[in-house]
Amino acid sequence: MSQTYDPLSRAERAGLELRGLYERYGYRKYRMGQFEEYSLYMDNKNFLSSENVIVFTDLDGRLMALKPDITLSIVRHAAKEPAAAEKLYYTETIYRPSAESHTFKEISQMGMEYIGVIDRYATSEVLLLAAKSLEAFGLPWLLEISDMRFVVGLLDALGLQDGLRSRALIALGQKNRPALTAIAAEAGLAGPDAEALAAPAGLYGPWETTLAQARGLCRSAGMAEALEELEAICRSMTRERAERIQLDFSLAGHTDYYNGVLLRGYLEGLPRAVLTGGRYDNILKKFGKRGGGIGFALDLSEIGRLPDRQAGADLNLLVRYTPDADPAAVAAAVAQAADAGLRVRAMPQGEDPSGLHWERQLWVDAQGVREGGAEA
Amino acid sequence: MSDLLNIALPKGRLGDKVYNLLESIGYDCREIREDGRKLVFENPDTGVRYLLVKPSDVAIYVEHGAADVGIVGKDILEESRPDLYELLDLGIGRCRMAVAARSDYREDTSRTLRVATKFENIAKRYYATLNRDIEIIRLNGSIELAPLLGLSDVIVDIVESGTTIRENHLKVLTEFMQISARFIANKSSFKFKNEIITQMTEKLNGVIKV
Repeated sequence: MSQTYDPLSRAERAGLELRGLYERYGYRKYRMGQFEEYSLYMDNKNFLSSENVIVFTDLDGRLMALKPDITLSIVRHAAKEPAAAEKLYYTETIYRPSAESHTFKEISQMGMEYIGVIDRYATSEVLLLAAKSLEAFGLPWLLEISDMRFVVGLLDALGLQDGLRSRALIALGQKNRPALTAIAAEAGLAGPDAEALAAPAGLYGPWETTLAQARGLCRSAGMAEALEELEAICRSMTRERAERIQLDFSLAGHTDYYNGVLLRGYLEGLPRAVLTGGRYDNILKKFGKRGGGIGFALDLSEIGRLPDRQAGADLNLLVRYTPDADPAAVAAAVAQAADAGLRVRAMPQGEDPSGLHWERQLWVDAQGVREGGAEA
Repeated sequence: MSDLLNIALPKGRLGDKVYNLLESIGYDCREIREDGRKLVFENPDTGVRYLLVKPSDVAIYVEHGAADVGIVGKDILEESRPDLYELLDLGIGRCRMAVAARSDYREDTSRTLRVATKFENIAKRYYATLNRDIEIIRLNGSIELAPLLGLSDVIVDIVESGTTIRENHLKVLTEFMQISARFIANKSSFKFKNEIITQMTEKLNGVIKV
């Protein structure tokens, strides 16, 4: 028995669902209908996943870029001193180099930003929406969170500066303990200090146990505050969702931009994070805006790689017709199936249907309509 | 995604050392040694599937999720800098990345240095730290020939014992990177197959001699 055909892919269906979700939580749609000047991205290249941007000269001679990111545009256009927080979501196409093909690729991205005074409720709301966004794809998911203040606080306490600091952050992102141990030696750290530098690489797991381990590394008020906030926002989740939240202190963003909670979301079956985000007050400061910002983006193109739920035949019904068939009879057979929600295609006798997969076939000739059997 | 843990292993020189290491933590590799043509070996008892791939492709398989974990030389990781977790230094397959030239070579700093190498990015980054103007000649093998035939001034390549260098009348000018095999994991697999990957990491950590 043929099922009614749903033309939406998994990513498209989830995209619609998420629009409804963000709207219900009071987010307004933001549309980015113009191009930004190239300098916006060059001045903030460390915020982007790659500094490669497609550049073109506009008709007035300005050097512009095809947008590789939406957050920077939203922050740039946000009010300098807003009376209340701005809550925005977007669905846009961005242009970035592909990790697979090493060429530029068009990526469909959906995301949300909360800009203004970010209190614990605001952070919890963003975490909840990140979790609900991942749930919308109907696959097992995991959301990992961290807080920049924890790692930065540790590096401060250990006195790591400049080159060693950025190398430590890269090694940490790779969970590369041998490299962290080597960096500790270069920095003249020994004993518990050297161990402390490598420790966050292994701090991964369910939030309650990982938080308890992280407390043992606390060396400053900033680090303690980060852990306290992580605990508060994890507690705000239902038990079922909280089980899918993992703390991962190897997660670290660029210190020029991120200053608080960081998020990465994964769907089973996809090799890379599909959701990335975090708290980025430093970007607002850079643009001379008051308040803070937190948000995340979902890579819908990456999600589009997943096999769709209704893969299988291309057509529910193939209507073949002979040259002497009555066009009205062919049209009636096609319309009846299409109106019933099936995927149908009419094909003259002279064409070869072997490149198609179909469930059922009808033949229409001068005598009328007859069943043509299933695909051989 | 399969329930088995997919492990990408390098074929060739590093292979035997890797199979010994895996056997020492209870992951049977006999079948791999016996059958020289097959590329996929399943071991349902230990819950793993081995994928035998070219050493330079191990990180690609892991980064793209075709394999959950893998064993790969640090040279490959430094050259392509893939986005994955580098969980352990296994301490096997030790060698160094070096600059070598003809034994009678003297550098002329007034000229652009011609560098022949398989490791284009590593060479570029190394000379960038020295602020030296270079021209890369990308080769795929027999790098040692390049300075002998005047194709390049120096080569940047892996040196293990130094025999190949000496036999080709070359000398090592400097060694700038220590290389050994690393245990790597795909970031997503690390989360969804955390228990089995963590177990494997701990077992490997227990037997490695770094």
